Amino acid sequence: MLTVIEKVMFLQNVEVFSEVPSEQLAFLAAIAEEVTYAKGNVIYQVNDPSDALYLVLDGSVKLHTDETEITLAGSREAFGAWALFDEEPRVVTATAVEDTRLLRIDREDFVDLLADHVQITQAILKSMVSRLRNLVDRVGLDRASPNP
Amino acid sequence: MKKYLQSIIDIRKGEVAVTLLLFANIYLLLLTYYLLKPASRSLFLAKVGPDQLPFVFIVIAFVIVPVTTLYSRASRGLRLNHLITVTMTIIVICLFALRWLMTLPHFWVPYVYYTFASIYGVLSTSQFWLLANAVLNAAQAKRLFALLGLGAIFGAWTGGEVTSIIVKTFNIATEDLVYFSAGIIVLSMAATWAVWSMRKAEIEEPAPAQARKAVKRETIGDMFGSIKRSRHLLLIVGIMTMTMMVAALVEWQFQTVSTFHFTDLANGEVDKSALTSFLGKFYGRLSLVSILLQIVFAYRFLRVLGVGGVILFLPLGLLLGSTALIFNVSLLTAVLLRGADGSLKYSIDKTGRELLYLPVPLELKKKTKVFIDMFIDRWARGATGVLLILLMAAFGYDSDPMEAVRRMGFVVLVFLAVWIVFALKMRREYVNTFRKAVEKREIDLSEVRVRLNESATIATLVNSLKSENDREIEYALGLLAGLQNPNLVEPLKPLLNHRSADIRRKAIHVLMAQADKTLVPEVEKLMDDDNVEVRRDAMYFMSKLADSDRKQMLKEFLAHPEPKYRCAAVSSIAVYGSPDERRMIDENSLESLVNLPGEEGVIARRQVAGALGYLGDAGFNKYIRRVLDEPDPGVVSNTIWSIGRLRVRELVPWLLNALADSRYRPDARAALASYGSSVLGTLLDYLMDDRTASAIRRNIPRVMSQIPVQESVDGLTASISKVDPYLKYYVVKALNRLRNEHPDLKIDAVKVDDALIYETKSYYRSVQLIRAHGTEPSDGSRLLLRALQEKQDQNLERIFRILGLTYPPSDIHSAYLGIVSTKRTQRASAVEFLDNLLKSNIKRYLFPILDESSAERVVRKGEELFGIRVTTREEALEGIIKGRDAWLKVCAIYCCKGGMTERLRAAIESAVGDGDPVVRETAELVLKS
Repeated sequence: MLTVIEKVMFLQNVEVFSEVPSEQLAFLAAIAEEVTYAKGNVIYQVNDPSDALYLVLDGSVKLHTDETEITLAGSREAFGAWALFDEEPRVVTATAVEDTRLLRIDREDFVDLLADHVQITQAILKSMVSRLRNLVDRVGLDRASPNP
Repeated sequence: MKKYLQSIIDIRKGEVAVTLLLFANIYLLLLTYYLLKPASRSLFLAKVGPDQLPFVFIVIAFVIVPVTTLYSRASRGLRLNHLITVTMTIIVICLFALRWLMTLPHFWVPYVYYTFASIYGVLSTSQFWLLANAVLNAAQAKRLFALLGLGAIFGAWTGGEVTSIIVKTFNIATEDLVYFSAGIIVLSMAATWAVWSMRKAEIEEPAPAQARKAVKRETIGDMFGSIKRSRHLLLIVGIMTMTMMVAALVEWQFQTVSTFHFTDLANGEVDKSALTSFLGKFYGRLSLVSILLQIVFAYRFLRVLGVGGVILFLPLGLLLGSTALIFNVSLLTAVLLRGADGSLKYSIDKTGRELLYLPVPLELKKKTKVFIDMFIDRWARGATGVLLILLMAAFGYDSDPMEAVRRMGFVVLVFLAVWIVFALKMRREYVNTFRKAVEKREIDLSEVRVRLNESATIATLVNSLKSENDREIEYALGLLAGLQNPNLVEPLKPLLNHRSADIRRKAIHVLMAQADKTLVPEVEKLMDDDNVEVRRDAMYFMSKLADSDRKQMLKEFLAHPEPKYRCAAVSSIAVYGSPDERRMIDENSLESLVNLPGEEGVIARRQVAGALGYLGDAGFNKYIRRVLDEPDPGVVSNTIWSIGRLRVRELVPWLLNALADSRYRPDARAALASYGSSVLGTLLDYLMDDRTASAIRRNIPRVMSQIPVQESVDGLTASISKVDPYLKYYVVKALNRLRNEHPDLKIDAVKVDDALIYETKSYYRSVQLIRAHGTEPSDGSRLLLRALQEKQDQNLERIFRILGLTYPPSDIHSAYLGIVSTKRTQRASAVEFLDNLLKSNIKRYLFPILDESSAERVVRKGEELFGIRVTTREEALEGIIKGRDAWLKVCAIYCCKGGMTERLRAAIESAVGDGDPVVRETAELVLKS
């Protein structure tokens, strides 16, 4: 089993937590649960309720619809992050490509944690605003650039 | 020696090249000016004569007008570096034209040369300071302007010396000095370009295209208009005017006394050679004194007294000199007076005066600085000339020149008094202008609030009642509460059937104020509303406005077989009833509700829980305990509210424990605060107790901030130094809130200063830890550095929060935003603002941290101030592992995972018994590995 500090080492790589102070990451680590999936096991399916974020510790996870592979999440990569903020059902299926060890942060636990640690909420909002701003800038640049 | 030099010349990493170029630039410009000045004067005196000097002053004053107008217009459309290049190129061309003119026999040529040299002197130096203001930020300017002032004095001094050397050694005609000047000006242009290209990324100047759009024909009136709109610039103009007028009067006094001193009283003849020798020695030594003052004192005085203090030196020095001259008109006192003027004006005062422009935006500075320097300077001198002629006649100069000098001393005193008043006002305005600059990044919400008059408000609010947006309706209803206006009835009626229970309830309240009985049938329908609070308020409305006996009606509802009516009646009587009516509620009424089963029972218990707080009967306290065990959070929240209202002493520990539960935290805080000062002792006990859960302790300061009494402030202030940094943040935050909302409460400044110094000590320590730890490529090391950096940022925030306890909170908040800004100019402005705001004993500890010093410098300062010395990585890690901060301990222990010394192993082994589980877990992990 991973210790809190070892989980923190992984969590600091998750983009949505990039602005969270390391000390607060320790609280997130405390609610992050280590889970394992054998090769081919489905972690969640399309239309399943969004209830957790996952972070790959070892192994890899394929995110796909029936026919199409959307992406492959490898070591230290997170998937299903929106589940923490949104109750909409899953839009892709996640399947372990090999024997895989994951960190799972449950949505309910996460919301409870936010209520107790306002700094985490602030940091997540900051990171989201920064992403939104980048997106707006990119859209602005695309619009500003002349048509080929 | 190195330390001494550093104390007077504080050039930091990355500033050397720019500073040297600026120094060389001002040196060259003054060198040129002092080549041209004596040449133009000697040519004038030789060919025209000294009696024509007043006329050339008048010519200069008039020529200045179109020159400044043209310059200002050009400044709007050109970047500063282009503006300087264009101006200097024109000057070089003019120099060649002048040389050609000198070959012509026209009488007006010396006038042109004199005027040109005079304008060149003021224009070139003014432009230089504009450049220095643009390329250096506020903090740099404050450190480096004194050095640049020294460059100017050296330039002037060597210029004077070089003139005679060039003329004598190379046997060059005075007229040919213009060629030397032209060559030197080209060098100075190169220096300007080099400086500009080095710093252009940091210069905040609007793009020329944008600026050009705004170009219009600038007139003298426009420039005066720009100055008039800025109180800051007006004060600069006032100070400049007084400086120039007093300088002209003092110069006259000095020359008159000197001439009198070297006059043979028997035949009335002046001993010209003695006078020339005396003046030569005097001006030569004056330059040396200026250099000495600039080297030794300018920067130090600036650092200690700030710009506001430095600009008082010259008028105060002149005040002393002038007073001495009034008491005893002699060569000695005249020398002292003129000496004070000459030595201070071009050293300390000049540096201070140039710094006054720092908070002025660059565009405004470009537009007005040269105008002020040239126009005000020359016109003030011209005006003083006219004044002198009048006063000389009035004071009987012809009959007794020494008495006239003495009387002129009183006029000087009057001007000095005005000058000192301006300087004192400037001192305050300088800080204010910086404050505005620092605050600019914030939006003043009070400016965007709409102000409405009565009738317009009502019309607007009535219109809002039709909105699709529930919040808008609720807001309008909130504002209409209690307002009696028959026109409100019709727009309010539809809201009784609104989908939102809150809106239905609030509509009942606004309608109740209209006391319109015709509404009773409409409201009566709401007695069957799904929402219990709507039913409660409808019952209240009915009991007040229905024709039936109010008490009887309530009694009937209390005994009603339908629980929903009983519940509404209990709640309505509790919340809105009189004490007499509240006595109608007995144990039976409550018992029948709290024992109800199912969802209906939960709703009933919520109402009872809230009603208990109003009923205030100690006999009902048993119900409080019963409903506290309820699993429904709504019931518990209402109960907590009732506990706070009734101030049930024995439930304080329960409330304190509720602070750890995010569901009840806000209610528990409010309930505890409602106990007032009687609960402060218990709160402080829990706050100081290490065994109390952190979630409870960190909420206590916030509760105390809601009890605005002196004991809260005193208790929190005393606890600052006793709690760990994590809790300290909450304690200081609570004090900030008390200070903001209740400025009448007194905060012990000595304790606050102690806490501040302690915080700065932590900061110095963290800088040393980061430095000693160095950069190791391991993940653990990176995490530790990140954690240390985060702690340092939190440390800085606490420092500013503590500052906000004794200084104006909004000023400190704005300064903090400036300090943490990524923009260097904003940071520098904030530092300069704080430099003028804070006491010197605080600045001593704080400024090495804020002043963009190198890490080495901060480390040295930490050693000097607190004796902190952490030099090796091992020492740093051991210090952290043995320290108080649990998270840093965890990171430091994990950092040793790859390998550790015996000393670190011992420290980690002792951490296995730490109170914090994460520290223990990490220590075990690392020791196993």
